[in-house]
Amino acid sequence: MKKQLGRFSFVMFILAAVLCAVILLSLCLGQEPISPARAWGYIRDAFAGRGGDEPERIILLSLRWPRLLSGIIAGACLAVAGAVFQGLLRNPLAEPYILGVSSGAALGVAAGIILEVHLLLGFYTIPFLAVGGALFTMGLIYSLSRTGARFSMFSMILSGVIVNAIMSAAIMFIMSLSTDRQLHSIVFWLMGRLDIADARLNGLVGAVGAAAMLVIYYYARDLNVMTLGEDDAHYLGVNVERVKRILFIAASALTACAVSISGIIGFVGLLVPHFARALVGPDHRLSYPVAAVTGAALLCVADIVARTAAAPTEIPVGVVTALVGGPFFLLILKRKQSSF
Amino acid sequence: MPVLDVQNLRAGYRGAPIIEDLSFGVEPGEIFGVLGPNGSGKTTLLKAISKALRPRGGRILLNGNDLSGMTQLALSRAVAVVPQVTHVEFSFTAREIAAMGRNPHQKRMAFDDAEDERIVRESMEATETWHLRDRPFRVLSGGESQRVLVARCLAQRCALMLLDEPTAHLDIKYQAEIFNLLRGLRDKRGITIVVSTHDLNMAAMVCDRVLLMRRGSRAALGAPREVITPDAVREVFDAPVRVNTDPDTGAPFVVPDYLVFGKLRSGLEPLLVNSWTYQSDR
Repeated sequence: MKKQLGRFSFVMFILAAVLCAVILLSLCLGQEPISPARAWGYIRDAFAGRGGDEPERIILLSLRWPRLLSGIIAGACLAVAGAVFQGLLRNPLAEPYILGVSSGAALGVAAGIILEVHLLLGFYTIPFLAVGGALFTMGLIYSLSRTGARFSMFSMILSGVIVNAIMSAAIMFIMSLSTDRQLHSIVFWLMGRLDIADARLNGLVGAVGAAAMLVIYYYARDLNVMTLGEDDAHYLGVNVERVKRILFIAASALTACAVSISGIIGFVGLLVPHFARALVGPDHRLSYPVAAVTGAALLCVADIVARTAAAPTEIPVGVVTALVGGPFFLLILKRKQSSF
Repeated sequence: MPVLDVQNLRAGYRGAPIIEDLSFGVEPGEIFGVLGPNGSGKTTLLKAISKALRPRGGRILLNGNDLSGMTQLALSRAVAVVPQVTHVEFSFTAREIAAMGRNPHQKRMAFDDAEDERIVRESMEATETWHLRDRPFRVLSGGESQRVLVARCLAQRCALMLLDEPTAHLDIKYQAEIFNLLRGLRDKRGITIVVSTHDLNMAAMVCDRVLLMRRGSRAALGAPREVITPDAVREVFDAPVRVNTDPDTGAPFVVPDYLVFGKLRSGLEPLLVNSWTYQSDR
């Protein structure tokens, strides 16, 4: 245990340093490069309450900073949600996207956009619809895979895949009904971008995400035991059905948080938990924090690429994560055939 | 007072009652065998005792306390289970698996402390698995992983250990190893062990008492040499057998009666009887 904790501290230290570097890079790079020294100065000014109206300062503080924050929050949420789903379903391929939870959230968003509810009810509406869609989908999958008092993890994945297909079809249907402008913003959500949400959302979504992560961490050791199977967990004193329910709700909430500020972004939830386990082992008490920090850093890097690779055009960040993450995942799969 | 007292137990699944009116007691420090053919209710019985399945009637007392009034957590501090199969999908090491036995004793957010680590080490040494501690559990052989799971039970600091067909997937060397281990635990630590098996011969050699089950109820209960008789085995297993006596231990020793099997198969009798006769003569 001591050895693992030492390794964990070391890994976390390195990852924190990497995240800091990514944050700085993310603030400095873009169509309008800002030198690190000047960026640092603006940030210090902002903390000290000093202002100014140079264009650089405005780009940094009101465009790049909120976007960076969205990236950190969405990345961490997706990674931890993926880690929970993989542990609960005892399946290395589980992630919010494959289970249909992301599509459910996106369906909520698309419905909101075509009904234009956000124009009436304000900028909080869209994230609430995302949360509603995600929880509805999770509830649907949960009840579909239930027989009597218990439910089977295998049928959960199966029904997840089917529900995902239905949700996607429903989104297409909504898209076919929408005007050009609506279509445009729905497509942005589906492709995953960090500049679509209102900057004022970051605070709320960040708080909800943090709360869900604390709940998940509270049950991390139970989840370790549950990877041995539900019977074994039962014999070791875990209240299996309760822990399962709480963790599914928490992970769905995390997914909804991510979708509400970034749209659908795949592969972060799939890839990062594998990476975290490779670094610190399968103990969820150690792999969750590592996954959260890695997810945040990874999504920010992907966003830097999205902004700069084809400048002045922006690539959707979800496209970057899929294009880079997919092949990378296949590579790992090929090299480490058996273990995850 | 018996450690475990099963009274008029009825248990099963919806529309399929498996155990009907079963009563028996398990005394402290004995190895108690639950015998019976496939489908006779052995696994269902163990599930009821470990609260994985709620009884539909009767009651189960653990040290005089009714199981239905105990929380799962309280039960897991007293009763440990080695299930028939444990698949571990993640790359936990043998030590991490054994350390999960500490789960019912730990505070929620706590990591293993020095005491936990001492208990885990001692448990793994008692099952001779300490040298495997850093190996991934998944790559261990059948016998090794069974022993690690027994270590997990010891780390649970249980007074009663339940094993469901511990040797079903093991070859003969590991079968002997597991049963020797169980006897050692009983002798050195006074742990009470309930083991289900359909290996009559192993049970006859290892168990102090055995319960023979037939379609969910008690066919016989007592010392192996009283229970494992040709008539009882023939009736319960619906198989022709001969029961010899092991020359070294005096334990009953069951062999299928190939001669009768041969005669029972209609149509092919001439062929079969010849070949079986040949075998039994030899």
